[in-house]
Amino acid sequence: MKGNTAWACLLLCWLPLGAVGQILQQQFQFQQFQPGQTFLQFGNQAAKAERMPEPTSDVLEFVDGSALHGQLARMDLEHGLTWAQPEARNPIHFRPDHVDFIRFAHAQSVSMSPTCHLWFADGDDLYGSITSLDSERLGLRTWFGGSMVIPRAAVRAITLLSPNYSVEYEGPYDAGGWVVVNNSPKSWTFHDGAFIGTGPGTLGRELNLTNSCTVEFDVAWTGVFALEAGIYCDATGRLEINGGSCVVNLTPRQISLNQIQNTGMFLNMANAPVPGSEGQSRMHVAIECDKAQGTVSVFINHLLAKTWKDFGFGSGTGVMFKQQLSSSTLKLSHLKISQWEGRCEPETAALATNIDAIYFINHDRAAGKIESIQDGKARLALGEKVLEIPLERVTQMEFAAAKASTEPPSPWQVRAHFPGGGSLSFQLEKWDDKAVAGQSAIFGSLAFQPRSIREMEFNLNRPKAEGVAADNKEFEELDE
Amino acid sequence: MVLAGLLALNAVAAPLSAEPAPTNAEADCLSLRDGDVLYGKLLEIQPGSLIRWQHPDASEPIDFKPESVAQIGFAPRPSTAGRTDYSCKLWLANGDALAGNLVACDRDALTLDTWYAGKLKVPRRVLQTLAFNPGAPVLFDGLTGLEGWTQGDATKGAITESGQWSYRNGAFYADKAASIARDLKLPDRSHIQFDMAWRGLLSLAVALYTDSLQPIRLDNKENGPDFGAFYSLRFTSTIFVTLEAIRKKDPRRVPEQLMIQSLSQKDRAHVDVRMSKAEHRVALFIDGMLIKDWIDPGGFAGEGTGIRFVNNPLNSGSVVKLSNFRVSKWNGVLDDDSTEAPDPSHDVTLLESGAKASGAVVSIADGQISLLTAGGATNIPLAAVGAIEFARFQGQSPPASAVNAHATFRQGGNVTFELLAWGPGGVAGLIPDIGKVKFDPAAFERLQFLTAERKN
Repeated sequence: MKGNTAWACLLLCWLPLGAVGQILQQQFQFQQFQPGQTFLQFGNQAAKAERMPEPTSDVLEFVDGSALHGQLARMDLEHGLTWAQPEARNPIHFRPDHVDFIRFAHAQSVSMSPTCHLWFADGDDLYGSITSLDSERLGLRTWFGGSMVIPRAAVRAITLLSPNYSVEYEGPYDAGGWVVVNNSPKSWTFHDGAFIGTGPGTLGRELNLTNSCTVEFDVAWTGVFALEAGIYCDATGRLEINGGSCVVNLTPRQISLNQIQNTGMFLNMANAPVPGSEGQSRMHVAIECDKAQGTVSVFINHLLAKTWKDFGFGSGTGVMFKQQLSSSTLKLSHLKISQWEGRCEPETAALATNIDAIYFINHDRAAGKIESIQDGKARLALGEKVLEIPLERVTQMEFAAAKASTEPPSPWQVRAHFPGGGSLSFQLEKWDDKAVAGQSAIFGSLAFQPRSIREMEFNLNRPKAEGVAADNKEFEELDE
Repeated sequence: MVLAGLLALNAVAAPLSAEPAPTNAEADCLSLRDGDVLYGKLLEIQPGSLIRWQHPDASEPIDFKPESVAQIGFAPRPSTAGRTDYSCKLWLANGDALAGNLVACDRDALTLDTWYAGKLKVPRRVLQTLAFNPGAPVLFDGLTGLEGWTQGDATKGAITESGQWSYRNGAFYADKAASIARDLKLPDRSHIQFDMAWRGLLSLAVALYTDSLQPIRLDNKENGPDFGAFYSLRFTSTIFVTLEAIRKKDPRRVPEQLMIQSLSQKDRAHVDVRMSKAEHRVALFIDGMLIKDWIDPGGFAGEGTGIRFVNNPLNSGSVVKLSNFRVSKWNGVLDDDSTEAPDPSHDVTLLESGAKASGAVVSIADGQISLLTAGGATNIPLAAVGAIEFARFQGQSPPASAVNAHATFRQGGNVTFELLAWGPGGVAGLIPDIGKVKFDPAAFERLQFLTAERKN
């Protein structure tokens, strides 16, 4: 376990513990990576690498577009939300009714050893380890509450993580660890949880990538853009990316892959269109580099755009993003960089289904009734037959939609997003500098350390602006 | 709001289902110098002490340090004066502009009656330009719907799928190739303004002084339906602007292409076009900056009196929005700093006919302007005057007084002044060279707080 900051969290109460099964012993790590400040140079020999400046404040946003930096002092049902804004003479007390979210500048990563990623019917997701499953209940271990049992109906899907899966980076919450080669005027800057590129320049980070990896991020843009995402780049301080680097070129409509030869030449592999590119001004990108298979797969908005085969990966260990155009502005956010062996975490839509299903490592799928998980095996009933499937052969389990208890609507119904991934909704009761307390319909009473939360989302029932498909959504961005 | 202004990249929040969310269209907007914004309502300003603000979700007013506030934008509110029209606009030497009705002018001062600050007596030495009827008569003010407009057939020549313009909340939108036109009966001198916002690459053509309500395929115009000549003002690939005279039979020449690099960093702009048939002139301003003042050597091409907007996106996904569309008669003045003073040492009166009279303005009263020209004293009816360029003051100016704010007024005009107080008792200020005034709060569209550098 590398570079972790110790954390402590407390579950105040929990549901009765059910049968405890075998706990899978795969190691999983969330890390606050603290690399050396090494420069990833990418075709800009004269420019100087710089550390990016550190932001220092939280940000509070309202649904009306108001946004204030500062610091959350406390929250409770009686007093509302108390916000310390350095430009205001006194702390400000807000009611939560129209708060959109609070993003915290100093969230700390948590460390754990989960074996699976659980997706809940209410939209939450958590990393943990399954201990048992029967027709009514699921036993699991979570980083915040240890062993517990929850209603099976609350779970929509479980993704089994690959061996040695680790999240190397998730953010950005600040610019720490990133170096930038800014052209003049400055191209890359950090602002409120995102890197903003306003001109040609390169942003890089050393991550000690040695295994297969997945690089995920959201990109939004104005006009057109051309972004190079380089993976397995060397952080040698030299002026060129090294042989074996994987460079994915992205534009609003097209994806291409370059393999960098040892001679320094680019080998341009076949292009692929961006799926569903019409009308987009943002997209989620996932680049999956499978060293064992020699493949590079690019997913756009969770749809596979293309898999390139016979890729010869090199020994570089960093990543970089290069903004190529001066006539557009890019926003990079929600970066997650994970390493894995054998197989990656599959893309999960977690749509409601009316039947259970198990996905296998050979990409087969079997649908039926998942009766139990016990002793490292899942029992799947297929009509009269029951299959016992070792969990090592399972990538994902989906559960038929069932009626689950839900949180009552309230301005204090919030969803906490955690560093390293995962989110949990609950009824907030109190937040001070020592603890966050609340009630979850699934997990009961909860308590966290404040710094274990990176973002707190409010007003969960408010429809979210998804993509740009709806007629009005097409135009809202143009409205002031 | 660096990012919000630049990009609008963040998803727009939809209202809460249980209780309507406050809409920022009805709220004032306070912008801090660090980029934060807070909607709500301005309650009070005590310069040097506090700016008191009410956010709808805050349990009590918020007192901000004045030095941390960059500006306040104001939601429209009813005027206490009841009327906001004006007959002339006065530009001062410092760049400020005051709209109002001319009361009188003599050798010492010009008096303007304003709806927002009462009568203002302005010393002659700070006058720069007085333009009459700058915004009137307004021929068209604001988009209210599709009625009266003709949707054109944009299927031919379109690069992408064709469609139609749609209307919503005072704006036209197009996300496909689309044409919309209207005969606005443009006068010989016209002033057209609109805001455009876009996503993706901007590709918009504006036909000026056209007689065709249907789009014209420029690459096949000779073989298409007949049309009268017009000017085609085109924004392509967001940053390129061209103006081209289009005539049915004449071969097209390669027009000058201007590159407006600043548009690449924007997703909206204010477009201002001023045209004069007599001067064969088309002047284009973008966001208040004079981009180009074209004089057509072949004579004014426009043969119609209409306007046509054609969106022809280069790729799907591009969206354009047009709003705040306004057409008025132009007085012939390019009211920006680049206006050439015909002779800075003498007053120059610009007549509606296009002629100029050089000579000292002795007085303006009773509908007449009295001039002292080289040929002697003469009177000209004000109705025949478009504008007056005042001689630049050559003497010693008194020391500049302190200012701390710059206001932009909703019906046009702006002023730099010292804000003395803003509160329930009204808005009090001190305008350099003019004196203490009491403003109507409804007049303000934006109030910027000046930093030390700006004040200097």
